[in-house]
Amino acid sequence: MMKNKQRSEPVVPDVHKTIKAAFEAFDYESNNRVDVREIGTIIYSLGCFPTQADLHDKNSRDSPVQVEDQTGCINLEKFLPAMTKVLMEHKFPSVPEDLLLQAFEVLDKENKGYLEPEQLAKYMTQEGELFTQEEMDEMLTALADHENNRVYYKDLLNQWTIDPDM
Amino acid sequence: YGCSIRVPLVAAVLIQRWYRRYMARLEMRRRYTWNIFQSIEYAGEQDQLQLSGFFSFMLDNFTQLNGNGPDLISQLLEPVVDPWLDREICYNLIPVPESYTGPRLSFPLSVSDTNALLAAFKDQQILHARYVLQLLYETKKLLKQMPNIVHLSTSYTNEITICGDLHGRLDDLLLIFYKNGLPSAETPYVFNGDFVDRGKKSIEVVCLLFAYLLLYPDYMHLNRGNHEDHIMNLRYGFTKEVMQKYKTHGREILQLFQDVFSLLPVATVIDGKILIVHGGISDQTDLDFLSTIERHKCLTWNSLCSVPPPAPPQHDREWKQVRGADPAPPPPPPKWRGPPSAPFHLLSSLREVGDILWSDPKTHEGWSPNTFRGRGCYFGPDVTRRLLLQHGLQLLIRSHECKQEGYELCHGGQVITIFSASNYYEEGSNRGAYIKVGRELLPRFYQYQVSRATRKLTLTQRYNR
Repeated sequence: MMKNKQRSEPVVPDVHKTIKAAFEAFDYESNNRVDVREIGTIIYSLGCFPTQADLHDKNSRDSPVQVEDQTGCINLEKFLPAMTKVLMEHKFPSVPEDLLLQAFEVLDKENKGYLEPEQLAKYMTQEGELFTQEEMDEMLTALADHENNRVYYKDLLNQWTIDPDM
Repeated sequence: YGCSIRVPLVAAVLIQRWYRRYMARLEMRRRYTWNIFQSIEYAGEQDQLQLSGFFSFMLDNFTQLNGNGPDLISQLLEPVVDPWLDREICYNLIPVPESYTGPRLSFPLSVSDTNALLAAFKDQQILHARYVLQLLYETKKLLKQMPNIVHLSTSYTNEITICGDLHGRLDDLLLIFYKNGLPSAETPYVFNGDFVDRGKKSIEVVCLLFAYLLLYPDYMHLNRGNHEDHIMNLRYGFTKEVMQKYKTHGREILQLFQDVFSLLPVATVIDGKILIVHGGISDQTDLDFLSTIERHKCLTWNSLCSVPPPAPPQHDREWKQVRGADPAPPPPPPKWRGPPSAPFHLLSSLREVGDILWSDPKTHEGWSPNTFRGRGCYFGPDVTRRLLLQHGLQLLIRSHECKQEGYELCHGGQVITIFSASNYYEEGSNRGAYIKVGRELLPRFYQYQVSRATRKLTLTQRYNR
């Protein structure tokens, strides 16, 4: 996976290789096509932070999320150049980790160092780019400290911001 | 994000975006790992492609010859010892020492025998070679009476339970029995092939299945899988397991296993509506033809030909992929077989059985050779639709591929894959599942996953008469 090198510019052939590798992981039939529902995972894994609007933008010419009419899938032919542009131009810019910490601290108004699961759930499902109930359940199951019924967000941060070596 | 965040909305968005990215990375990692496991799994099977190419070359040249050609092919294709014939297995003469504390089966089997087997296997005991041989001998006798396609009816039974690949995972079989009940008139089962290879307890799994088959031939049904086969067993562990556990009588046991495997029915049909086969279908699949073949002759060694039989002169057959964009797909090529004893008939049987045991469904229309596996084909939703229509069926249940949830639907719900070996690739890789269908023919799915906790549970299971 592409490491977060913000100083040196990525080279196009390397970028192509990286994009193809990520795409192939979901190309179940080896026909250069991927189900449109998997495209979010692919774009995120390439180090980007698209908004939900970005992920559903089927209309802009340069959008990587353009669906083929016959198959209802995303074709590598279109995805590769569009995604290359996204990466080269930093179109879905990343959110720095310290801002993520600040974000949690904003929600933790009393500065307790943790959030109640219900509190977090309320924000996630009612504000911003709303979580589905499924996403919310999944997040709480995996992340909440079930003994104390708290979400210690500093621990979450560590987990979320590690750059896995793929 | 120049200035620091004050507003909960912006904070929420940042958190959501990071979380989604984190989950996507986990999913990506899981996908990569899965792909690696699958490649390793199938890499070995692709070697057979090389051999099949050589074989087809031989066939092509031989079939041109007049008179001699067909005989030479038949010799080449038919097994050295016909599995149908009785072998001289004198299990009676094998002494069972006093010190043997395992189950001593008496035939015909009764519930106390199968209970004893269950208890013994849970206790890590090994069934004495004499009883294995006798079990196989009786199973072979029974299977010879069965047709290639077994027809079941829900009017005589309760819900039928359908299980997929087990691959020598005794824990999964025990868990299924624990959750769903032992085979009986109230709980009839269909096991859809691949009982052996890869797992460490193939012998135990298959002996239990055969024992229940003998005990309840009306309520226990086994389909052949692509691993119920001598060459696959050589490669994927079953042969080794037998030779290790049965040092003196291993060879005899293996020979009988191969006879029994070749005699397993290749398909089961429920209420004339649900077709159950291990792998899948091709556009050549014809259930009427399949009912007539000699299934015990369709073994891997001679089913290496993954090319179609030589076409009669006036038709030009090719491997074609029919794209969904075509307005009217061409009609399927006529199925010319020749008389039953002819080599073309045998070749067609080999190919059809190969398709049944090896094919995989794909989402795009049409069909093409299954180059991943080296045998069988990839079949699209149109192939499924056509076959179901042709035979008045409504559903195809198959196994053959590991699925994360233990089951998966495709082809608009007309095909279900069912896989019953949980943790197949590694601890936590996937669940196992089984299907139950009743008179209304609506499938219901039950999932499970073997763990230390479930092992303890099934060990203390009490089973009733």
